[in-house]
Amino acid sequence: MWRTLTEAMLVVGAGFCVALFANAVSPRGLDLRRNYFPETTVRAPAAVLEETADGVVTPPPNPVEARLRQRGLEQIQFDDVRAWVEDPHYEMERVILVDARNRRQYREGHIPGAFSLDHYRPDETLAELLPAALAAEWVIVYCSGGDCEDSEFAAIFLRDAGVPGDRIRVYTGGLEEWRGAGLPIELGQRKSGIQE
Amino acid sequence: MMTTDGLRLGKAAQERAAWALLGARWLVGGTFLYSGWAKVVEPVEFLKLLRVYDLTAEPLVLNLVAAGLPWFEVFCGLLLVLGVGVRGTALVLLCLLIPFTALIWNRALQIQADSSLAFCAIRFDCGCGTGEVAICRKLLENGLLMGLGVCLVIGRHSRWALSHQLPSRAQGRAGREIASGRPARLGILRPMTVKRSAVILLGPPASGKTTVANAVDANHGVAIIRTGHLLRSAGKADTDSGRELRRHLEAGRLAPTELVVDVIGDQIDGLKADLLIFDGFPRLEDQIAPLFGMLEEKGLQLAAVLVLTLSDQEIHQRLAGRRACPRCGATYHVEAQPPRQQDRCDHCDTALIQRADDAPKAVAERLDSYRQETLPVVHFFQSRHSHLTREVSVEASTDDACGALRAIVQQVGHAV
Repeated sequence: MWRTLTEAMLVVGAGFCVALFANAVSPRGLDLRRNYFPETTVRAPAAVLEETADGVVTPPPNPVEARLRQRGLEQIQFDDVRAWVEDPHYEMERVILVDARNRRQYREGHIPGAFSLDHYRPDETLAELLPAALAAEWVIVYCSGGDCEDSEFAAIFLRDAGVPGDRIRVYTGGLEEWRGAGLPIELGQRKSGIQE
Repeated sequence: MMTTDGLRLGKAAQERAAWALLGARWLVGGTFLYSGWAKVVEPVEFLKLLRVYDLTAEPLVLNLVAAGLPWFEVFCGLLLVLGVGVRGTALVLLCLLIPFTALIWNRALQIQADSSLAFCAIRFDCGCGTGEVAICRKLLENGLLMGLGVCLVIGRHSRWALSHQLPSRAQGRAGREIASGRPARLGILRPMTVKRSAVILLGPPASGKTTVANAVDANHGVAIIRTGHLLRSAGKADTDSGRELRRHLEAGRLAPTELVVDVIGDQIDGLKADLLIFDGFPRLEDQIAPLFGMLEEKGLQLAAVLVLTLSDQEIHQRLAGRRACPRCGATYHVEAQPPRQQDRCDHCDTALIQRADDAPKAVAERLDSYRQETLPVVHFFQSRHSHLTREVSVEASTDDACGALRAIVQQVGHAV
């Protein structure tokens, strides 16, 4: 039994070394020192019933809204996103959309004209996105929708990269809501002209 | 089918067990290979799924697990598929499966509390590399994998396995080198000084190996390793190896070589003797390399191999009258070497028995087994270590053999 235990320890040691080496040389490897899920230092007030000056009691924010507040982010609703995309300013890139899903998902369909930012692997697209985001008046970040938090982490990433936080909005409904409304979806690269 | 120590099982049953273990090994190995690779190609997705379990707030730890675990699973899966270090690898995977299963179970309970769904109706991506799964099916799969893992830890893997157990210290290399008759290379794992010696006693059943060994047993510097008796005693102990041995003994199977080596190795560790006489080991060709590995590991140098020879007719005659003490292992002969008190052991006063494998039919099988399995061992020593090997006839008596053993013992520097 001792020999089996010794062997198990050898396997653990060798496996650990192999795993670290493979991760280091793999193009898909993770950066061990990076915090992929940054939390903000901005703290929202506790979720309690709020009473306005005229005596109206407002309900506490929903969990997503509370989480956004805690991260110092603000959300934008579907109608506003749709209005921006249909606004002439969208073509002039005074308003930009950022798709925070991975590159494969992006190629399979995104909101027309949206930039791609997989914040886990930002190097691929950041050079194209960052100048546009710094120049834009509004930066709207989205991911799949539902429980997806990638849009929030991408928003924090952009804020940390120098984009002013008050210009960033998170579209929490995401692609799921956009597609559900029957709106156009662009395939492949940005401005490929190919629609679903 | 009984042989020398009652440790043999039909070859057909051994074949079936070997194939079943091969299937288990490939199934568990293949599963980990597949699920590990699925995570290797999408480490970010695995990282996100892992975060949901809320295991740690420390990014470095989370990243290490997400980056390392998939490759580790692939590594272990490969080891199992190839049959390298099977027992240790299976033990590691078993140690991983238990907390994995507990975490998945706990997560399912959380989802159930939030959703009011029936437990088995819950489906989620558990980060197992197989996408979204039904919780009950996943738990069943993990239970099956754990059961197979236990079989792999305790099983003897011989079918299409490169090396079922990684070499212990210098065992593999040095064992093979010395067994081949070449001197082992010096290395940091090899003891730099050999302080103790070993003598191997080989011979057919009833050739008097034990009697010959006893000729030098009175001295404190000499110890006899009686393999058969040692295995029977170890099989009675309430230890892991004892229980495993008991399973083989009760099933009538030949004890696995690594287990025999373990038992002998443990025995050697507790001895202060400078000269060890191996009685009944090695018995098979595949025990030769482990023997030399063990000698190397324990700092023992092979001093001599004494081969006793005896005709078949004499073997049958001797075994018919042989009696054994079930307690201390002492052997007697009703005519040639009777006990002082009839049918009672001289050493422990236990009633003597005739062993089942001393019956005529069993004797014929034992002789057949000796010719097929042990004679190749004798030929190995005679060809590869001829300068250490000496053959002595015990047809008339064991006196010559006892004298030869005493001379060997004196030669290697021990008083007799």
